Amino acid sequence: MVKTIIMPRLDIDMEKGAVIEWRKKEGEEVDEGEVVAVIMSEKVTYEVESPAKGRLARILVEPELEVPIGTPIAILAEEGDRPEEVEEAVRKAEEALRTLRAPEVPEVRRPEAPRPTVPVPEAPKKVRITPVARKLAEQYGLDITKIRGTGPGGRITKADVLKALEALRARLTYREVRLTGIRRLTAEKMAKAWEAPHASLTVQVDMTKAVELKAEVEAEEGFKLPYDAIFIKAVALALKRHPELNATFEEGTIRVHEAVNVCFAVDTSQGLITPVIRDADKKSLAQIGREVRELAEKARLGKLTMEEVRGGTFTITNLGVLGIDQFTPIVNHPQVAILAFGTVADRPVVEEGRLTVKKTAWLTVSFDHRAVDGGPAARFLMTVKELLEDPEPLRGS
Amino acid sequence: MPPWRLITSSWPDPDFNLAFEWGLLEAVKSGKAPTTVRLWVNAPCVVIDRSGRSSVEVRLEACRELGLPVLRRPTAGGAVYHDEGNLNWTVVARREDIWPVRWPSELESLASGALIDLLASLGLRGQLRPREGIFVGGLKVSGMAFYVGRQALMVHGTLLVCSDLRALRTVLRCKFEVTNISDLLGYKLDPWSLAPDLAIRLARAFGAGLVKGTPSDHELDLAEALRPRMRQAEGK
Repeated sequence: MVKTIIMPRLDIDMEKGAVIEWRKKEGEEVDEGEVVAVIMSEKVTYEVESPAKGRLARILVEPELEVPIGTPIAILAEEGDRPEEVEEAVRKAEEALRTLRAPEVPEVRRPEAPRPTVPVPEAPKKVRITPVARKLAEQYGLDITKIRGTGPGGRITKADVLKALEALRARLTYREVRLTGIRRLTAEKMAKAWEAPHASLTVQVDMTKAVELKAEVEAEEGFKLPYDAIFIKAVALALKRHPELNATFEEGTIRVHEAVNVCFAVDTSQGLITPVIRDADKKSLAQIGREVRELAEKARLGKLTMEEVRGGTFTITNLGVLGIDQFTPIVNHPQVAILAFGTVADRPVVEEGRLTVKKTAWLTVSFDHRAVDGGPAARFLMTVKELLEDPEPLRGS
Repeated sequence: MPPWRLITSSWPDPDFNLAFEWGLLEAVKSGKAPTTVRLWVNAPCVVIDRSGRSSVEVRLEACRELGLPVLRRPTAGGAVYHDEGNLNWTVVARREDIWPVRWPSELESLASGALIDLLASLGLRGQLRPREGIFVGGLKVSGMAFYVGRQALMVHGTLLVCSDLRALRTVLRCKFEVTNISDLLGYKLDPWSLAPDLAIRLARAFGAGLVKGTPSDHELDLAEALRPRMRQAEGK
């Protein structure tokens, strides 16, 4: 399938970047993962890898031209792609580029010529601030342009400075905790996630039919189907019915996503990693199972690519494999919800007034209560339960 | 994880120092050098980014008058001034040695943690302003830049210990007010006196140990071969 290579986002605040070097020429063959270009944003130099094996059919942007993230920069044709398909992809990409260029033609760098995108000393912004607040900010070395004023007309007050100081102290105190390496990164991410007011709901699920389905798929496909695959598919179908949980929440904006990209947590020797199964609602159980196995293996070997870990819209976490019955997960920021699965085991169940033994599991959904209420979360959880207890819809794509 | 290599090699020629930085990245990328922490100082020069975009931050006429070469580095970011009062630090890691760090913001967070810890050991309260650098009391003391490649990642930066700030302000159009650690402390520090502590803190930030090493012949050959490219910046 013809693939469009786009200007990637290298960091959360990156808006545009420039190809500074094409490592491949138009028409040249490339392997999957091979570096095709080197791009540069304000602070980062980054090697862009080919998403597939094929031929670099068209280079769309010349070196040094700054373009916004998401802009097509090249077209990759895979083996078997018809020339008209390639031309159609090129036409669409060039149209997108023309649209981008129409309002403002990005400048090509000219040595020593000042340009608007380079950091040049800015005229000082007028900041409205009370004298007491200014003095206090100066005393503690706070940058007043970064403080949000809540006084009349947005004026920064003493209370605003004290609040900023408190936030700074919290950060500094946090730094004083001697965490190192990956643990430290995880701690920072978790702290960010914990800013969200969490609520959790739990339900027990009869897994009898899901276990049977697992065995059938394993017999048909000839490999061991991870439980995660079943959970991912059930979650993906439930998210299509309850899209308010297939969302991210950042800077006061909830983004409800069309694509259902489900992350699954992998415990590695280096720490917790969450690879993504893209469009999980459109894939068969067997296909998800294969991807889960492959991504989990790559995670443990430290070989996941950026594309394989970003863009998730929901996360599942399964500590059942470690024998945990039930636990309360923390949302994977900026996603708004996460679903935890406990171990699938024989447990006593009362059914039609009689005590019996069934294979069951505990499911716990945690959600960011700023973005999701208890009702939708409960309905979502009950849909997952229904799908696991009557799992035939999980089988197909 | 095996301990990372520490090298503290610097050469009198600033273009060779920069070429070595680039060669080190290439050697780690190709698997011919181990993950490395490098601490180094440079003779006076101005260093711009890989594409030359930051040359607009440089007063080229002033550089010519002062006889300062303008050189390139392999990463993005703004123009910086080097002299013997500035301690340069570099981490070039093979992907598998630094996993699961993937993002520039993660490299920044870990490296700046080491620098802020170092400053704290001197009684200074450093603050990271993401993508801008490390500041003490609103004055910049350190900046950094990143390379994210398929096989290797690099973060490297500066630390103003006792640089000639007058020269710095003459040759650069500074976006931020800068200062030296020595000026903040009120006494002069030798950049090399901070090097061992910074090296250990950098490695520890990434969860690694250190073992002292030396540049290989391959790295030195690469640097020699890359040397002419460093000077291309002067045509900008």
